[in-house]
Amino acid sequence: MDIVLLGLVIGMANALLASGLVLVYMSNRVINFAHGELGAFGVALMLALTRAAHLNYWLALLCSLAGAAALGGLIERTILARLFRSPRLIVLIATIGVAQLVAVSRLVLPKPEAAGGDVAFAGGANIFPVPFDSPTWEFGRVVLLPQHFMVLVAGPILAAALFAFLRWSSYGIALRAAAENAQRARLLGIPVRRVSTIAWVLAALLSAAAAILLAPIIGFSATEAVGLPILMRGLAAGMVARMESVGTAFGAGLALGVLDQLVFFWTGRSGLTDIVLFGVILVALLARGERQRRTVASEESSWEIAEPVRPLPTEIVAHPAWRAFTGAGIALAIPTVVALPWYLGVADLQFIATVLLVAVVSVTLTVLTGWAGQMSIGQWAVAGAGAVFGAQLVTESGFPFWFGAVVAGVVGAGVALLLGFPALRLEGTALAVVTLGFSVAAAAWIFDQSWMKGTGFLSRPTWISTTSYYYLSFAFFAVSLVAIRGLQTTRIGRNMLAVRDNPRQAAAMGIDVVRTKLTAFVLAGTFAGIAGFLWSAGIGLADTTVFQPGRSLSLVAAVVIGGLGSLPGAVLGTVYFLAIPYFLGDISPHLGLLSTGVGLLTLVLFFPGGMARLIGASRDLIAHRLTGRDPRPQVVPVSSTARAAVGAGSKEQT
Amino acid sequence: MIAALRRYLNDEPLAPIAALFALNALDELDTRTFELLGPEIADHFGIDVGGFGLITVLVVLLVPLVVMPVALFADRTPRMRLAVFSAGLWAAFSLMTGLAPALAVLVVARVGSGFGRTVNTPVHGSLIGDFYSPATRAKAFGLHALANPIGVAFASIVAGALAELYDWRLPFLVLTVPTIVALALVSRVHEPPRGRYEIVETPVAPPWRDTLHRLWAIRSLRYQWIGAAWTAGSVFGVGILVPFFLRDEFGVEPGLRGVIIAVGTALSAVAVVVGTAVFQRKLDESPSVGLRMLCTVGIVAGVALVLLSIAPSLWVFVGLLWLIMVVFAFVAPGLSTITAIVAPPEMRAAAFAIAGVVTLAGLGFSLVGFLIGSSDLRWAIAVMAPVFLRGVGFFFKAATYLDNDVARLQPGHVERARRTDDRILLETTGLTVSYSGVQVLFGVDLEVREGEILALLGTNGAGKSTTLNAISGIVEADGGNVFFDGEAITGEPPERTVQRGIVQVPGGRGIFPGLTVEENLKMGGFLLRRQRSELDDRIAEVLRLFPRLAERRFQRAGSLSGGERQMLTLAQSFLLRPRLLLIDELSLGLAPAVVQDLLVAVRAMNAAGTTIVIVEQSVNLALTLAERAYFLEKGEVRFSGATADLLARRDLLRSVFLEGSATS
Repeated sequence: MDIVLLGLVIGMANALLASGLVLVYMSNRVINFAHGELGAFGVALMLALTRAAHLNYWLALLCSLAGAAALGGLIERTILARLFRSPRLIVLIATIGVAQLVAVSRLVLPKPEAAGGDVAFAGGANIFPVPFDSPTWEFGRVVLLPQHFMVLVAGPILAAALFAFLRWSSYGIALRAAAENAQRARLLGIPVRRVSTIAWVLAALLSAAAAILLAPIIGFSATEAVGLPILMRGLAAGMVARMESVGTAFGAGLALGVLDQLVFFWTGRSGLTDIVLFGVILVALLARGERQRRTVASEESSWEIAEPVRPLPTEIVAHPAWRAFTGAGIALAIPTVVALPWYLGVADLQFIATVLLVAVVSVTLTVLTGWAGQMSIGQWAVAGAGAVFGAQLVTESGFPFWFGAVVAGVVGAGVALLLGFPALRLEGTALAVVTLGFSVAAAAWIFDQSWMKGTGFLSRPTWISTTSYYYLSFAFFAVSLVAIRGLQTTRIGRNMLAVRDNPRQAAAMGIDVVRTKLTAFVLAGTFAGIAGFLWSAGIGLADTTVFQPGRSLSLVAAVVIGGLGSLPGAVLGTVYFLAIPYFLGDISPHLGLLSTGVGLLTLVLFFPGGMARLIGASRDLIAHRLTGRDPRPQVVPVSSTARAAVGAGSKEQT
Repeated sequence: MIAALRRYLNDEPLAPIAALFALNALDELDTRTFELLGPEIADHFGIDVGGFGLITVLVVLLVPLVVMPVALFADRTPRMRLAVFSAGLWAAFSLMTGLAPALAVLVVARVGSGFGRTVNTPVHGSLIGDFYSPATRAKAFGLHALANPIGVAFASIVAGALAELYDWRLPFLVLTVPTIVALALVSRVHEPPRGRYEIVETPVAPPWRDTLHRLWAIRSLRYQWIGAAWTAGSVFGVGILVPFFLRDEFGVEPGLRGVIIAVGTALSAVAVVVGTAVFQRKLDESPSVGLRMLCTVGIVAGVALVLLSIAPSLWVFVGLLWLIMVVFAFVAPGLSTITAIVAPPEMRAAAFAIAGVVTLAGLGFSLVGFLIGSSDLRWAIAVMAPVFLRGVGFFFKAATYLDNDVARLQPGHVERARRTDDRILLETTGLTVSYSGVQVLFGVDLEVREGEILALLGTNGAGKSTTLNAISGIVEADGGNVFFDGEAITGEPPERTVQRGIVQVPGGRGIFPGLTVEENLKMGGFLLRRQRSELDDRIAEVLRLFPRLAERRFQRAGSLSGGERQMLTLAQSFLLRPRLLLIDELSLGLAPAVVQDLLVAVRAMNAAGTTIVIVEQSVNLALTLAERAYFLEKGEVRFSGATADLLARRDLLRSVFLEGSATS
């Protein structure tokens, strides 16, 4: 009973987070990945105002909530409103960009001196301010502190206010109406965009309130990685409610809090929260099943941001001039690659190797997203799983290095397969949710288990010098690229594309959709696992500190910046996101996050084709010059009969 | 000389442009004199460059705050009076600058003169639009723009000399003399009737929120503004960077810098004249040809920007710099002319003001430029080139909508909507729509008369629903216009058209299944949410019309039967008492008995004064309801007229009947 009470306290905060997440989902049909960051921003503002600016608690609270709410509204106005008609996957990606920018703005806020900057601190009532000193109250085995009372008082009040808003106010009903049928709502004169802004403001408010209430109880760390765990709390409850009902989500949040505390009590081990949440997400997704088709269909994600870069027509590829050109390119590239170690220092070589290996992980992400139509937000954790387990075998059990690499590939494939199963049953953004859950849980718990992790170190065998490490990385990179590219032309590759473009039609043509998708997952997982292992060998570490969930998000950003679905694009995007901090790192420690966030939003809003589009255009230009043939598809002038046929054939939209 | 000018202006009166020219030139003179004498003034008051810059920035920041309210005011009051008043105001403050005994007075004087000056952009643009017919407008704007280089030249020569000989105060004192002369001249020019070249009656400016929404709905203006933010933002950055570039890269002294700018200004003056002439000729072909020409010239400036960043020697650099200045001078009067042609006369001042404000919004780009510029000037300029070219792209986009938007202002539509007999409530002209590249409508012309029931018939995929969607604003038309009550509403979103009294009843999914019937009705009356009692009355009324809904008032709408859902959809739409009701597929999938009930309600609505357009698959149903019909096929109107006549056209109806037998 006493444990349940404590669970309710935590659950109340979860419930507030979940309701905000559901609100945004209702108005935008997208899981807001910036939700946790908005809460974290509120907490950071609160800390800055009370500890650095020494403001009165209530005044600071007011300012923090207002700040977070204003930020939410601003984000909706400037970014979400522009993506009103975009595919939902794109909006999802945009919220990732937003999350990174909010994280940057949180990190540049002044931090309290007492916290010692970036150090995490738990149960920090002495550091995190509370408004009053009430006598502590012992109830069974738990001691209730002022911060717990705060939650018990503020939580129900906020919940009641939210309920009243949604039930009785014009805008509240309009929010629910717009969630069900936005077009009809517009036809009745409901300002759907303003409603969406209100939803964001409220969501940000709830997130900040929940995070501020939660912070004195579970602690708050001022590092990059704090937003995603906060998001997870809301996400798990939201998934149980199928992102449909604020009420159910609220209840689920409460229940999750209790479950969390009970698990903590029974096992007596801390740090299990994230794994519990991950489990709940998995169960919720698997339980959704068929009934869920209706809503899922409306969010059915189009993977495509813009027109893809087309392959060159065969008559150009076979043209002698083009052949000579590509041949010359390869002939130049190979000696360059071979000769580089003689010209570059150790640090630069190491950096190039890192880029190459991370690029392989990006490429696997492209296989999933661009080809199988699924978005993984935990690909770095998949790579991490391979690396951590492989490192244990090599370092602890003394297996040879190559064996570790092979096992890493197998582990990566296995993890990808496990993650893929629940997502297979659903279309849309399900895989994104599962993989996010995995990457957070992995960083918090899985990678720290004794059966998973050894010492956390992985050193290269002595026979691999930096130079040979560079060659090794390059070879692996080339092999992966050739293998994946080659796959595109095989039956499996074609099946993947078919399944991506139209799963139902593909199934009708006799393609096994499930097997095709699983093949894509396994393939992506294998390469990611090996790449992760080799990457770890480069830096000598394979533990939770390097396989952080934020990195997975950055990879998604890199792939989008490069051009979703394009292999060269994935490589270029990786170069972009690693090279900026490497070369310009002295300007600000947050430059990496800033560059991917800004890059992501710029791309999504202004240049939806990504860098791949630029490469494609210049390739077409060169091909045109060399062969005298225009590789772009020729526009056939529409004759009147063709026009009539189009007019009659096009589906009327209502 | 005067005779030649008169001929140049196609014998339209000379006095108005002379007056506005004088005001513009004097304003420029005042600003430039202050800038030129900056060092002396700063020395006198003992402030440094930073402090002096601060005053300038203060005045610039004032513009966006003041210009919009001023413009909205200008759309409602006599503009000549406003122009004279503001000119008097800045003349007084200019004098105050010359006499300023202390720094505080100087700051007040500069802010005051800046305030007076913000009137110029919106008011002058709006005035020229009404003084001169479209055939002369570009020339008038050209003359007006010529005042700027002339002001600069005078400031550099006369004010410089006066200050050299006596004191920095003297030019400001002397300046009052021509100002008074100009004021006398200006006050003799009479206010022109608003929109006399565009509309038959005197239009009334709408409330300010509406003004912004309606201007934003005009896409040729919207994309020009977005383009202006990009281009002007990048160019402003370059303008600041160039003097530094000249000094740091080529070691050019201030004196030579002045000469370079002066020559550029002189060339600009020539470019204004030439540009005006070329543009006016293109404009006579069509406005879009004119704008495309300006865009093409703009690309030259973009390329010059790229070359500027890699210019190897001083003279190449200076040549490119002059080229860019010339291009801007060449383009500027044309762009003003286009705004004056396409913006509705009653909102013209506001349109000019927005153009000014968005230009400032583009300054974000120049900030990026400054950031990069602090490390490398060449890169800073190079980065601005793509930004600039992107902006030119927006202008090209604006050109595709331009001719269409100019057609909005034809006076005929207003006339037809104001006729006492046979009033036209809704009119579409040449409506074209495509969905992601596939064209669906090919120039649909409709006329809906006040108070009638009109049927819109056609085969599946003929574009009937699309036509309704384009009218209500759910779908944006590529071309053509929609006029409601004589006013162009093309491109307005449904939130706005509903407020005008156009309500669409969608076919099929018209309700919110998760909400109760009561909540559904409340959403139907969303616009009346502030008038609680009125809304309650109307809800009671529609529930009397549909008693079955009253029984299920607190049920979830998702639990209703198909007929009841359609009733609820109609009930929602009736709540707003629309002037025009667009009904899409009323009978789809419903039993005949249910349809009869619905028809009774529709007739009752029509009897109460609502004009109705009904889209139907079922020809029989439409014919019993409507007196007139349009028949669409493959996105074009094939028939229009009395429904009785349509029955004789078996060739058209056959396709529908075949279709009907296939689906029923």
